[in-house]
Amino acid sequence: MSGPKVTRRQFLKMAGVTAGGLAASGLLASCGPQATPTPAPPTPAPAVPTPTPVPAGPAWSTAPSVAKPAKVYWVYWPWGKTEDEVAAQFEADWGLPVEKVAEPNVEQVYAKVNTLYAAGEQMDVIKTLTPWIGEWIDNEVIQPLDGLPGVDEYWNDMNELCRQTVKLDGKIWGLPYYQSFHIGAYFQDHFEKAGITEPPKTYEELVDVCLKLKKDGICEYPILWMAGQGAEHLTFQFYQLVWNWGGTVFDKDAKPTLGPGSKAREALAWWQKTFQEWKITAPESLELRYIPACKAFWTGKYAFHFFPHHYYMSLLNSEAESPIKGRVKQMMCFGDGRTMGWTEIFTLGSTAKSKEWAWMLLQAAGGKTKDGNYTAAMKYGIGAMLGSGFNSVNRHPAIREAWKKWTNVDLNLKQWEKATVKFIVVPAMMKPWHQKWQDAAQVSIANCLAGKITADQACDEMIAKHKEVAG
Amino acid sequence: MERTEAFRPSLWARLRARLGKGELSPGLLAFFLVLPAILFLLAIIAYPILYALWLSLHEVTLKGLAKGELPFVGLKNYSTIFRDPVFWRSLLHSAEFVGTTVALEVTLGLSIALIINDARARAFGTLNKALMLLPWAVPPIANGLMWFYIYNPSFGYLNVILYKLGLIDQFMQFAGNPKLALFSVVVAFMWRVTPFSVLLFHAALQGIPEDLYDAAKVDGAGALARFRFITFPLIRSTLAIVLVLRTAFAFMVFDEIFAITAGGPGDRTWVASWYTYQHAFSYLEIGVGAAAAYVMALVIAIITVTYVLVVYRRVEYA
Amino acid sequence: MVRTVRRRLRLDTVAISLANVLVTLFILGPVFLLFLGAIQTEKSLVEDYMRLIPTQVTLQNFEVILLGREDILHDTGFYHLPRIIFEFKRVFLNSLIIATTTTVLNLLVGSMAAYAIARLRQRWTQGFMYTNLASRMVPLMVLMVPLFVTLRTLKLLNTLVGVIVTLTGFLLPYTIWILQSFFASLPEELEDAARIDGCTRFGSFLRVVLPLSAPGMGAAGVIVFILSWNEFLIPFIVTTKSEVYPVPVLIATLVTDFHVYYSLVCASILMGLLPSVALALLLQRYVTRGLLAGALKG
Repeated sequence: MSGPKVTRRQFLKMAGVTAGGLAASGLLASCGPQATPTPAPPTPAPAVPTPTPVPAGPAWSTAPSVAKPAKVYWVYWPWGKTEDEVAAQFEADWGLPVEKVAEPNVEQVYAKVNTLYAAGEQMDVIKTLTPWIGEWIDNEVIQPLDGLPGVDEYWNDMNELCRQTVKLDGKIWGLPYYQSFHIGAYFQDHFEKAGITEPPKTYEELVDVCLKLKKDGICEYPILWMAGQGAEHLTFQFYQLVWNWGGTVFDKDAKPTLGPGSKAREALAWWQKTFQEWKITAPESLELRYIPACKAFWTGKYAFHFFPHHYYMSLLNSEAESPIKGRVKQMMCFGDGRTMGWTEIFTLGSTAKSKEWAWMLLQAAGGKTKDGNYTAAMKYGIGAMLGSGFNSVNRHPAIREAWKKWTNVDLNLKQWEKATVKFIVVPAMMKPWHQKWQDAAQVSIANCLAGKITADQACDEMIAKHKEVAG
Repeated sequence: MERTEAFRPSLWARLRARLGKGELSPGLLAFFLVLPAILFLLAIIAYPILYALWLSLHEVTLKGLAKGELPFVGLKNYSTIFRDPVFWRSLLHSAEFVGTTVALEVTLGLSIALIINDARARAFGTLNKALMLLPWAVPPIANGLMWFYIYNPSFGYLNVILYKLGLIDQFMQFAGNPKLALFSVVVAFMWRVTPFSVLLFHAALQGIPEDLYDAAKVDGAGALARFRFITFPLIRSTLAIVLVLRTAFAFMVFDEIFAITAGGPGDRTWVASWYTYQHAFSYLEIGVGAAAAYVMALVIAIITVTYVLVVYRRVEYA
Repeated sequence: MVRTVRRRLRLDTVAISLANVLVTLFILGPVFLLFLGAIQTEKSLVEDYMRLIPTQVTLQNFEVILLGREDILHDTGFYHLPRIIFEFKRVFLNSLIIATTTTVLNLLVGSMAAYAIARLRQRWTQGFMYTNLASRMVPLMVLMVPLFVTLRTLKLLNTLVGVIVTLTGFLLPYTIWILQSFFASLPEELEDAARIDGCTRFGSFLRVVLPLSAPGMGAAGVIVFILSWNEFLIPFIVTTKSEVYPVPVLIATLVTDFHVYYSLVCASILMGLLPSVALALLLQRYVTRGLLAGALKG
């Protein structure tokens, strides 16, 4: 798709929590790649004593003692039939009808929730992208999980990437939907044709391989980036590139580090060269996002693909539909392998009629269903390779078995461990001005990659824009 | 015939006789017949036009609507628009779009009308005439998405066809290419609307008597001369009408922009209607959107009136 | 002498015939390409993209959409389906209801008003006619913003009624314009004869004018049906729930990068445009007459 979609500008409206809140939660304390997570101390007891008595059994299988509302509302973008199935299971388990408010596209859910909130409509569970959380906390669209039973046990099972996302301002704001991180992949056929046995490990090696593929006439444009306009594409790729290069785009105080001589500038200049000087990048990268990029890779014209969701490996290697199935291989990110990751979550709407029953639905969606299984997470993982925020899911043998057909599971896990949550990679992401900055930065980056301006000019523009929006 | 009246009927009797006939006066009948239509037009066109004016003079947001707080801001929305470089770029893109579309539509429409009207290939012409309405009937949004699919830079049909014809040696971008994006929309839009012009020109051409051409041929006039001195003057009024209508409608293009480029790449295909839509329904700055829509309506009105005055009148006197 | 003339003619004829063939390709080409996309699986679409005419064709996309056969699409591509496609039948029904009702309303209300303008020439009916003409030139954008706000207040958003009423009002000027030109072209003597026989004006409208103008009503009816079937922006702004979507809004929902399934999208577009195109081609005489009446003045 050529440009931002209808609701791209929704991102403009995303404000964030203050940096103070983030710092207080200890999010900015750690830096760098994450090791295997260790259990964290339980959350402190809430200041106000909970009015509802703590149920006797596990939280996910014990009905709250309060009365059921007429319905519970679940706002989400669909992922296959998973939500349908989970909702049906919930209805069967608890006899409580679920009103499914499904928006076809992820970008529309943001507008939908705002509209519903403005109209005072009931919303119990909301599938949320993390950039929206800050504004929704500010405007009280969602509420924290204070005083709800069983939150501690979920917390204990969460990995670091998840914990760093759900805990803000000392409160826990939701349960994980899925976890994902930026990776690179290559098409083995071209390697075989060129006699290459190992994927590149550095940026220099990448360029060498690409030039060889180009010279041998195997690929005209060996690299396909997912770099269309849109936060998760062009900007994420830029953040990821700079992070893996060893630099940052913003420092801990959310000030841009794009000055002359910075790693960010270096990385951007290198990126531009792949488009303009070496011509090893497909020009249509600037147009492609999400699925069109994946399916473009299916044509087999390209050798390398870099994309922000590791689970697209399941589409690239789809057994039933991919023309090149089984021959797309994941490779480790270059250098020390660091990459950017994130968790998207389910949150509790503040307009829920009954907080306790909304929590039951939230558990079914992002935690355990009545039978004690992480039903939704397992479905997402086995069916579509979505990562989970829970260790017990990610280490489950069924997950490992399912992912075997799409990627090298050990390599994937190794890469996962090197993923740093995006709020640490880009501390500015939670700032209220970030969306506005990002919109303008995208244009600068796109112009640079298209050869209209130099990397220096683009970085200067981005610095100037920051001054303008952040003051 | 002699009138032998015994008495003159009273007014009441006359009225009753009149009503008994069940006949309303033409004026009253006309009023009742037109009433439903007027109600619809008032509700759906007149009232919204006035309400849009009101909206454009206030700051209108979704939150404000929910709370009922809509402050009066005078001409602030208009000044916001006029100070916005994106607005002027949108107008420029609209002008580019309309200019290209109408020029192509008229030339292509007239050419196709001439081709299918030609007696030398009657069978082909009849077939094409029978199929001519197909593009016109396609829903505009479906048309847009269809062309978007054809324009796909990785495996789309246009690339494949051009490559096979040897016209390109690398697949190219169309909708995502800043240089070609607007023209991509022009082609898609034109494919859909040209049949309308063909229809009008065809009807006009049918109205030209054959003997004029025969006489000209006897006088030794070639094809080009026949066109210049017979065909063109006799279809000038149709040409004028086509120009007016198609310009106004091309200015309002929306569906194809939505489906093919969504205003991109960057803001290369932001046109007047897209600007209005984004502000009103994406950014939810409803007041600004209403103001932009008003400016758009004004431009169309100017275009229409200018055409009617300049082109139409000139044709009338021709 | 005769031989050279005939040869020259043949060259002419060949050239014109060729030109006509190009016109046919122009008309049918894009929709044919859509058809090619609709009869392939996703895999074969992308795999063998250099080959225009596919080696393997399938009707599975239509099965999926019309029969809801989700089991045909397995594997991970399933998670990236635009699920609204499974509601195609209901959406198609919505379009049918909306288009039919709008057409009937338009013909009813429009014929009455058109008769008043064409026959009952009062001083103000001319003015009404020009107002009517002017309202055709109002861009939809000017109307959409206030209509959205109004319908929201009246709680008519997400209702078929809201869509129908708005659509009817929007298309009425065009209907009146077409019908009044048809009525005006009917000879007045027939109505005069009816009136002499004791018919009221309204009676002559019902019993003489309407039956005689069946072709005109047919023309206006077909055009309004097609236009209301094809209308996108009005229902798009006025509806947010898929239960009340008409076909164009469903197609608009397929404009995305997030859940994309090219072959299914092609099949959906094809089925979405079929009714309008079929109607226009089958009843083209009516459509042509209506379009010409609507475009040329009198």
